[in-house]
Amino acid sequence: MAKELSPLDIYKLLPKTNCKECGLENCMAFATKLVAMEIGLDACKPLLTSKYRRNREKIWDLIKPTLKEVVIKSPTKEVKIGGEYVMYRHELTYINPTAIAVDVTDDLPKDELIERVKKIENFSYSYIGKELKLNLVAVRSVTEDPEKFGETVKTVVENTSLPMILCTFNPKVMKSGLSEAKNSKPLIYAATKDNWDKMGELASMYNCPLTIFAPNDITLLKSLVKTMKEYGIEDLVLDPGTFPGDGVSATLNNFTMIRRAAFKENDELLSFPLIGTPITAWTQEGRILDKKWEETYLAGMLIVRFADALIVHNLEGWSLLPQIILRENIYTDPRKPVAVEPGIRTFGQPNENSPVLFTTNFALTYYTVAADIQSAKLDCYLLVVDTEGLSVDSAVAGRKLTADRVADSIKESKIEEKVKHRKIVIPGRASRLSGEIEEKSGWKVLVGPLDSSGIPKFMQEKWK
Amino acid sequence: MSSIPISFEKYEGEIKEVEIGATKTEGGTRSYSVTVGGDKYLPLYSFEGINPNPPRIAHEVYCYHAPLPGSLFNFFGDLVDNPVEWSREAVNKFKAEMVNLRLTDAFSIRNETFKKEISNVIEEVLQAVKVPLLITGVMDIIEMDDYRKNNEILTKSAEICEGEKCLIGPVYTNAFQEIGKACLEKKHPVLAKTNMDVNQALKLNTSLLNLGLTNKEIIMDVTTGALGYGIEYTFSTLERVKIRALRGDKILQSPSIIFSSESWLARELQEEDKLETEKTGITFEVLTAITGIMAGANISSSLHPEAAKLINEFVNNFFNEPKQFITVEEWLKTR
Ligand code: SF4
Repeated sequence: MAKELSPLDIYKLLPKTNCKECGLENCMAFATKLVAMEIGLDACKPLLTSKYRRNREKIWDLIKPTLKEVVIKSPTKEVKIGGEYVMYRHELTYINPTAIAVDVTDDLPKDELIERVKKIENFSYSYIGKELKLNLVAVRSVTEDPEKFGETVKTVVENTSLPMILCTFNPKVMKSGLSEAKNSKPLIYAATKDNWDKMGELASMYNCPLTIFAPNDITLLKSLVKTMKEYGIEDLVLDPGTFPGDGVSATLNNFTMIRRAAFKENDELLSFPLIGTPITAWTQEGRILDKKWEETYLAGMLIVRFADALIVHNLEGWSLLPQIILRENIYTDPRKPVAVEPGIRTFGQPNENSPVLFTTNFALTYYTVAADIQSAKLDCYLLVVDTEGLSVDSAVAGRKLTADRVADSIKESKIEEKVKHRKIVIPGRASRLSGEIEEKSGWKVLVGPLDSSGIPKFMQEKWK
Repeated sequence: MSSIPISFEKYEGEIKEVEIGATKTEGGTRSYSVTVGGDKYLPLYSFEGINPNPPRIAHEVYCYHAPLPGSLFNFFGDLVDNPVEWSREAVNKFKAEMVNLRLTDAFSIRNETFKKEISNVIEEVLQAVKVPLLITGVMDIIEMDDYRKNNEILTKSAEICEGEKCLIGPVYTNAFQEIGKACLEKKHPVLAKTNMDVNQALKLNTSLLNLGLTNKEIIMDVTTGALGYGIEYTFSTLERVKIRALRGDKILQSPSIIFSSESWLARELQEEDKLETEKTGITFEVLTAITGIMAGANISSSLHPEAAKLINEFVNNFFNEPKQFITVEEWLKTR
């Protein structure tokens, strides 16, 4: 995207009807948000009509990301990878989180295959108001038997809504798999220096994105990309190789050099999403636990450094949970304060005698407290005080959480009309404000636990 | 290495080296010293160049009332009540290269005898282990009183450890004078703590430089949280500070530290009964540390010895001569 893009450059190309279909007041407002990347181009529906097709293309050329965005699809879901505007997250924000694929093989008995696929699909963790999930199933052929691979792909398609990566270097086997992936766009893994012509053909025939695999050889990678582009294949994903053990350093170098070439050299042949394969840790000799650890830290390293998709093998929570949380953190928009709306929230069915608690509007604090209240099935009111997105500790220390502010929030929330009592439970970490809050608000203060996990027990014992 | 046109950034600045631990010839009693920093290139980008000193790990030992989750209590067992023995174990059994003596919770008991006892503990630890030491107080200030406690105990520590070149801190933008002066006088490097803000880090370093310390005597902690609890800020602040220092901002040219131990505060790790909690915690620590190290941390202060081992293993891969790579194609067909 051009650095100094002005909303006017966009506005000129919009329908200028101010039809509000995008949900905004007028076209100028849309142009402004588009430039700030707070709304997507697709939100303007009129632009999708044939009348505006050329204008839409022109706008897209102005705003398109440096890194090509590639879409991997199942009949019901799509996963976007790449589409990034910056090399480092602090320069703006990252867009599409690293898609994580877990593998299945074509030698598994059918019931085991189905069980594993379901496990992948159902893996889920709720974290600050979001469900964190795995994104893709990587089906790999260990038998090299086209029939077996085809059957396996069929079973996978029947048992999951997740899009797939199909993994084999054998074009015959790949073809068999692709023919079973109807109404989908699985990612083909992979074209190499030996099979590129056949894999290229399959990619155009089935209109699927294609991975180019050139281990530790960026020159080769580029020449294969060039060939594919000449073929008219544009949806490419690059794999420079993920090397365990002593190869970790080369791995990080290759990922970084490719990304730097894309962003600092505008190298069009390298401006594609990158795929990492921490699963290579399993090819090493040694203890299984060591392989699991190595796979985990390779994944962590590549989530931080530029991988847009990953293939891993271990499905255990202790390995995957930290990975998906890390991904969530790294892909958080640094421009937005992680805050929730201040105000009053109700839980369960509170009445005029129900407890009133308060917390800060730091998203992590709020969702943690909310989860604890929900799991305890409390009927209560939770007053969310505006601390400018700071946690209790930092807010108290930085004087963003003061007795005055709490008293004002109580007033503004009109909670006094909802309950008869005048008792409020405050976070344990704000205990030193208790006297002052009583003074300023006229409410009686109960000092709650230091960690919100203690809320259920506290309420049982102390709320009378 | 394959050749592609890569813009090699010319860095004008470099991070100063900080030495922790003084040997006999330097007037201390440590059996070796550890040098951190000296970065000339971005961390672990060996295509740019290899930095002189790999990131190092300090093993944490708590001086009483360690705020540990259940799984770690089980792991450390009786050691949690015995900082001296814990230090010995860290060095002898877990091969700690440095020990970070955390006085954090020593403050929860406030009487005079206890203060004296802490002084004794520090002396005994100095006797028991000969590795370089870090001595850290309350890292996250909750009450104004925490500053006073840090001042009191850390200036005392600086005296007790005179000549040993211990890394002592934290000091803050609004509380650096006393501890800073004590460290200057007793020749210890200082741990400078700010809160995910490059400007704050600049301000605190400026204050310390004005006191008479140099960049060779400052380690910066610009972090805020571990995995799941703010690591995105930790990561980006570390990265921005490092890039800025390498591009020539002299004030920021000191090494950085990350506390991977903070990972254990995650609520995901508080349930004792879950079988996998310990392993999950180790993974939290490892990913926190390597994220920090990739962004520019020169030291990780770590808690679980297994995590420390894995972090070390990860880091060493970047400083060993690569042997033959395995052929990565094989993973496709591995059963
Ligand atoms: S939908 Fe398009 S045309 Fe309608 S107001 Fe929004 S930007 Fe303008």
